[in-house]
Parts: sequence; structure tokens; C-alpha cells
Amino acid sequence: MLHDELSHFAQAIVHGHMPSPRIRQAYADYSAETALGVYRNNYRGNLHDALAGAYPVIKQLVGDDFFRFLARQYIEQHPSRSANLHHFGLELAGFIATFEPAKELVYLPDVAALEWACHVAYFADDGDVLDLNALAQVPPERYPDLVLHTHPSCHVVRSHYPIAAIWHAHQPGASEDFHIDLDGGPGYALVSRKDDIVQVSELTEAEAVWLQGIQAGARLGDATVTTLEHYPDFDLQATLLKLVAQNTLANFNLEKTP
Amino acid sequence: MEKQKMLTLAIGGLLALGLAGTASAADKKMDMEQCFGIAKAGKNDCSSNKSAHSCAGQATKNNDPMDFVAVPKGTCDKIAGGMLKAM
Amino acid sequence: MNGPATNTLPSAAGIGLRAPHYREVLDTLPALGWVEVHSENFFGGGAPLHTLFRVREHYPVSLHGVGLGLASVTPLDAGHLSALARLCADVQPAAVSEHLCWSAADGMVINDLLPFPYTREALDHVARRVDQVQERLQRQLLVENLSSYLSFSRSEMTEGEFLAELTKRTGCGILFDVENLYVNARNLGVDADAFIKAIPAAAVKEYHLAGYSMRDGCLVDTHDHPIYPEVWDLYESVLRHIGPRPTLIEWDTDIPELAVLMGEAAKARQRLEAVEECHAA
Repeated sequence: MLHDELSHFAQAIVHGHMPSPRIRQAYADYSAETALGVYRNNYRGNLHDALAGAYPVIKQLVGDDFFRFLARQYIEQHPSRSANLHHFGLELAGFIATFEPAKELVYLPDVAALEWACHVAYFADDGDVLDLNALAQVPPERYPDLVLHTHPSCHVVRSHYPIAAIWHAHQPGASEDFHIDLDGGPGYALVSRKDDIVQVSELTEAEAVWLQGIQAGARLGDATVTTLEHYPDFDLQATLLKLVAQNTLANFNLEKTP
Repeated sequence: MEKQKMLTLAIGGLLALGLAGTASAADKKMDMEQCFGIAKAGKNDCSSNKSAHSCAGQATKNNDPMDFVAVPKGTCDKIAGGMLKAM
Repeated sequence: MNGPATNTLPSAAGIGLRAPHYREVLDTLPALGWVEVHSENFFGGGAPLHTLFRVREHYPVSLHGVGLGLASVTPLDAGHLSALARLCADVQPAAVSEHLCWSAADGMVINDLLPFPYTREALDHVARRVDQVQERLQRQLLVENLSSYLSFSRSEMTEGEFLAELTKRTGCGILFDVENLYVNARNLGVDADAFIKAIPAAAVKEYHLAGYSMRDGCLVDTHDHPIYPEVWDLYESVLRHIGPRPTLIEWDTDIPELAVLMGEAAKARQRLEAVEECHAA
């Protein structure tokens, strides 16, 4: 009984069905339709606001009206599955890629993927801090066997477009007078969190390839050799310093020599 | 051999930074304060939504007038090449 | 193993602490009895949890959940409950509360606080779930009365009677939202005096106060206004009948300067102190 009643009510909110006749129809100052309107509005409004909170750059890029239109279509196709609104919006990048009205903004899905990575990084668990004293104890001949772990917030987003530059141009305090050329070649955006601030920086292709290897669990020696095969200019020292400065490396372990 | 030298230099650089790293503790306080400036508002709350005019409407009415404003009008016009000619 | 955690909120006025005020509160440490935050905003750890830990060093913290869905007709979300249990273990809150509502059915999740018919069947269902939550958290859960925009013809009791029975069966406490009761009285014709008499005073552990807005004749619980005079009047009546309890000012939309919230908290404090003097005399 309870199940049927609530299921009916949910259908009325989500799919606009007629409410169950068990819902009281007359109230002193308004109709049942008005009351349902409040619930339907809450449903879509809360999801819209959650999406806007996770995707502030997309919202600025397309404007409030278009974002509302996009959000509404997204909610229809990807309804909420979690009682925590911070989980809502996971599939937006994929959705935008198939969303006709936005197809001319070719970079939009990648910017959405970057924003979701930032959103997840904000809530990601704390990782270990790289223990330099322990690292100093490792004999140099064992360096190739180091397996570096990245911070849980660390994520690389790859794009054909300069998405890190687009992201930076839309942060609070950034100049409104910007111009971005999409033909600047592929971009690799590194997302990390340091001192509670989510940061986005750009990686070179070599750095991105190396980091992907590291994230896949490759040993330092193997990842570096593989990267150098394709990118002879790869600078390991500069890369490590950059990643540590961004709190991207968490801890390490030593793998047995094969 | 070349690889070993490179790894030794790279990790050595990291360790050298670590020894000097305590100097950056002074900067840390500023970062910690900065983070509140960008504290992201949590989206879970127990109030009813206020955006009455923007989000109401039944899901069954898909072909509503919203379709007429389905053109992006934001900062995307500052991104060259972003607006490709329609096929 | 430790025994069940007890509620330790002071009988003082607090505010709902939201992101725009984190910095000012931590910088200036204003005289606040306690603060309340929405539990789900701190699930998963990360940056928000670090802020909450710092707040916790200075103020008692109450965790107010919006997503557990005590009356939902889907199994209690184990992941959600685990996240809440972990947060409780980390933060050691002074109180933990949830709403008397549902938010999921048949695979649909509606991120809102929805009313249901107050029947025997629903009471059995909700009581089982409250037991489950209290068992998991090893502490008393406070359950909040809901603001509703519609009601069900099949209800067999009032919300007040439902809550009274729920506390008797499960030992849960009551978070009495005075504004919600006012909204229901105006919208649904709920008898506010009867509600106050129906719930056991000893089970009431916290009050909420907030401002509503009006939409097409319906009072909507938007938490975007100062507390209206009628709600202050009702609060005074509640204080006389039930007694002083920790009282929260909630403001979630169009959040004003911290000073405005402090002003509302001061008004609540005056009334709390007045009634405390009466009780002492």
C-alpha cells in the first residue's frame, strides 16, 4: 500500500503523471496541482542547482538560459540515482557530446570532463603525503623499481583543445577580456588538490604519457624508458618537481626487481 | 646507464627540494586562508527550491518554448573556432 | 566498546553554517552556542571535511541529514548510512538528525523531502529503519517533522501522533521545526496546538526556525527570509509548553551577511533565556 502510494507520487513528480486520487485534492488557499508544482519544481530545481554547482564553467560558456535548457534535457535522460546531490552530473560530458544544440561547441564535452574531475577532486579523500625521508633511504640503484602513487584527487583529462586555458579564463577573478584559439594543439589538463584548493595545470604530452604510465602502476624505470622512447626531450626531474609542487604524488613502494 | 643517471638526478632533485621544503611553511598559511575564498557551496540542503519560474513544468511537455532559446549565449563567443559552421 | 553517544547540544541558539560564512566564522569566532551543517555535504571527505574539523574545534556541531529517506520504500541505502557513520566517527557530533520523509521509490530518487500517509503500516516501516540507523550509529537519532504542501486521505493519525509513537517504539528524539509546523498549519490546516500536545516534551531535543515564501497561495519552506512574527509567536508558545531547547536559525537560499543570522539567533536567545528564568523561578 505504502509502496504503491509513494511510487504514484514519484511518477507524478518525475514523469508528470496524474497524482494518486489518495492525495487530498482541496486545500484552503491553493489546489493540489499547485502543491504538485512545488514538488516538481523542487525536483528539477535541486538537480539543476547541483549541476550548476559542479559545472560553473560550462554554465558561463553557454549562458544561464541555455544551461537551464541543457540541464533539463540531461535530467530527463540521466535522472538522479543518489541521495547525495554531489553525485549528480557524472554523465554530463558524454551527454553534451550527443546534444545537438551544443554540437558546434566542439570543446564543450572535454571542458565538462575537466569540471567533473575538479568536482571529484574537491571531495576526494586525503592521500598520504610523499615521505621524503623514506625516499632518501632508498639506495639509488633501486630507483627504477620505485612505484609512485598519485594523490586520490589527481586526474589527467586529455583533449584536442586547450581546456586548461578555457577553465582558467572562467575562474573567479580572471579577466573577462580573454580570447582563446582552439587550434593551439591538444591539451592535457592535470587536476589536483593542494591545501584544499583544486588546481588545474597543463602537462606536456610527454608528461601526460609518463603520468598515465605511473597511474597504471608502472615502475619508475619502465615508465621513464617508455616515455623517452617516444619523447626524447622528456625531462623527468622537471616533471617530478612540478608534480610534487602540486601535491600530485602521494607515496611510493619498492617493487622487487624482476 | 643513462637511465640510472637520469633517475638519480631526478630523485636527487626531489630530495633536495624536500630539505629546502620547510621554508615554504610560511606560504602555507596564506594558502589555507585562500581556500575559504573558493569554498564550494554544498548542494545538499533541506529548503525548498526557490527557482520557481525556471524549473517548474511537467516532464511530459518536451516541445515547450524552451526550444526557441536553444542557442548558447555565453562566453563561448570569445573562443575562436568554437562556433563551427553548421554542417 | 563505548556506549551509545548522547546528545550534547547546549540549550542555546545556533545557526546553520553554510559555505559563504565558513571563513568569517573561523576568522572571528562569533559567540554562537553551536552550529549545524548538512551531513551529505561532508560525505567523501576532502576539502569540506577539513573545514568542518576546524569549526569543530570551536563549536559543538550538529549533523543534519537530508538524504537517508527514513520512509523511502527502497532498502535503506547502505552506502549512504556508511558515509554517515564514518562522518559521525570523525566529527563526534553533538547531535545527529534526519527528516520524517521519503526520497526514493521504484528506482527513482527525488532529492527532496517528501511527505507520506501517516498509517500504521508506515509507522512499522519507519520504526524499523530508525532502529537500523540508531543501531548502526550507536546513538539516538533526532527525527524532524516535515513541512508539506499536500496530504493524504489515507492517513490514520496526525504527524504529531506518528512522531509520538515513533519515539516510544524506537527511543529516537524529536527535532521540532517550528516553522514547518506553522507552514503545515497554514497550508494543510494542521492543528498546531494539538501537535504540540501530541509529542512528548521529553523527547524534543532541538528546535528549528526559518523563513518561508509564498507561491500561488502555498507557503513554501524556502529558508530565505527572517523569521516571521507569527512564527516567533508560535515558538514562544512552544517554549512555554515544551521548555527551552537548543534552537537553530536556518537560512539556505539568498544567504545574508553573518550579522543578520547572528541577529536572528540573538532574538531566539532572548526568548530562550526568558523562558529559562520562568522555569527557574
